Amino acid sequence: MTEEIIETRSLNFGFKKNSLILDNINLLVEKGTIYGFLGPNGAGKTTTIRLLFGLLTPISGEIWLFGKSLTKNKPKIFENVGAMIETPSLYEHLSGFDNLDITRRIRNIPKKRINEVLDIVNLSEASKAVVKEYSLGMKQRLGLAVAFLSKPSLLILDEPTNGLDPRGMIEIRELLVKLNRDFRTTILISSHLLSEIEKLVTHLGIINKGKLIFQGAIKELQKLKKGNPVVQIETDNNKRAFNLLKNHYQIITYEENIVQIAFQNQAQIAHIGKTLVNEGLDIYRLQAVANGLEEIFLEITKN
Amino acid sequence: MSALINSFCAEIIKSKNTIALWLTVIGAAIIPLTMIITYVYNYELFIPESGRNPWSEIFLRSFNGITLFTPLFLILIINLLFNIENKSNAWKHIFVLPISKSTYYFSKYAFVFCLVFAYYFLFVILTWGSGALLGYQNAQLNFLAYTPEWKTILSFLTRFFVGTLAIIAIHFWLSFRIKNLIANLGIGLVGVAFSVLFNGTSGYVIYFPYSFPIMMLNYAPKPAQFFENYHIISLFYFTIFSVLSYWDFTTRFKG
Repeated sequence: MTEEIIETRSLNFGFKKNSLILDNINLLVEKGTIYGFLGPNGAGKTTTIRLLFGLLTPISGEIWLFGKSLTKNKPKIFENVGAMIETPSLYEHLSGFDNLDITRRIRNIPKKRINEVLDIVNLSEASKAVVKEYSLGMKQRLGLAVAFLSKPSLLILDEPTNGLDPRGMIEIRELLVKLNRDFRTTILISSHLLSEIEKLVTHLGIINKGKLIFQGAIKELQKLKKGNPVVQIETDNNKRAFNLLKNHYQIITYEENIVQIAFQNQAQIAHIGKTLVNEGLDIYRLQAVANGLEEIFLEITKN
Repeated sequence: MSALINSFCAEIIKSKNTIALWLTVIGAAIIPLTMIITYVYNYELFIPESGRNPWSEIFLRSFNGITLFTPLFLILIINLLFNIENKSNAWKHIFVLPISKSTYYFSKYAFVFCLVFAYYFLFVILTWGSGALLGYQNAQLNFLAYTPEWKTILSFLTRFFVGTLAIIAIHFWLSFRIKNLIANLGIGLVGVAFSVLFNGTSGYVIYFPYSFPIMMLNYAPKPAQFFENYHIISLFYFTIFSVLSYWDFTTRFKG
């Protein structure tokens, strides 16, 4: 039986009554999942997350965390939640260690846990330096350490890889997978880039212009795939290639250095290749561009 | 209770390396240092008449100093303490911790009072130390032959503290509502400027909270009436503004 860790019911929010920033959001995050909360910049991701913590008050709707209404049980619920909302909230005049110590004291956690999380985020050596001397990536990792400190059963991270280099992003991804696998930590992670989180998440919620336009397992997103995939062709004579193929295939684009053709199956790619070789054309590139999740995401958030 | 203590300890850590903490020490030391300089360069003016306790003079002068200085000091300290959260964009972190807003409110208030008490304590100790130092440096000043009138000092500090409670409560509220440090300080400056202009202890001025500390200039204890009307009004303002800011912070303030 599934257990809902986060559930919002008909959540509406706006600063003015007639203009909704969030419109009827019904978020559902089940226990043990890694839920990617995806949407373009300004779609309403951070606003939704702020509502989940009671940092904003909805016009209408309900928020339930761990099966309890947020309005009545905030401190109790937050014992099991680790969070990083937008940029990490760090006291820059203090050391990394002191920053963790503040949260540790309020959460009443044993002191040894500080060194554990510093190890996890690879900041042990810099723990005594003041945070204003940290790089952006180090601050981001310290923010994550603050969120991990209490070994929460729910982690809510708002664009946690912002400012990280590719290696840092991979490290954070691996860390989140480990937390989810080893401790069954439920994770909600927001991002505006699907490619950044598609290898990480088990479920997705896509928000656009304040509306939740998709929610479900990542496999279900594939079902939304529209149109055929495309093969990109580059030869020594693209104009001739275009003329050879135009009567047999749907040409998507034709430019001086590339021809894009829609195809339905792999046999058609082989046929395209043979046709071009038989006509004596040199093929520089014959590349199938998969209609991947990123394209689907861009497609459904386009309008 | 343990949540309150934990939150208070967190406030202590947050204050490390802050201007607020240094200002408490420097603020308490300014008047005693001024006294040392004044007495050293004009010592002939301060040689007491025979049988007169020189401590009364130095403490009265020091009291007058902090009477004018303390309101702005309090406003600055409270603002700087809230500025730690404002500058770090920390409200969104604090409000998602397993701690009620009430607990946070009271721990912050308690820490403000701790710094205020530390300021008064340091001020008295340093003024005493200044007198003792001056006594060693110049025996004619006669500090070593007498002891300070502790009862008068305690009565001044108690009354002065009560007189400043209104300002503490008002600026505690303003500090989380108005995040701009300069704007907050500006309000305090205007208040203090008006209270100096009013320069009185009767009439409507007894309802103007920034005037209460100034009213204690040239302090002379009145054993018959420990608290004057403006002390009672200060306590009233303190209660009203504390209740209102508590309600605002716990129910409406979102950071």
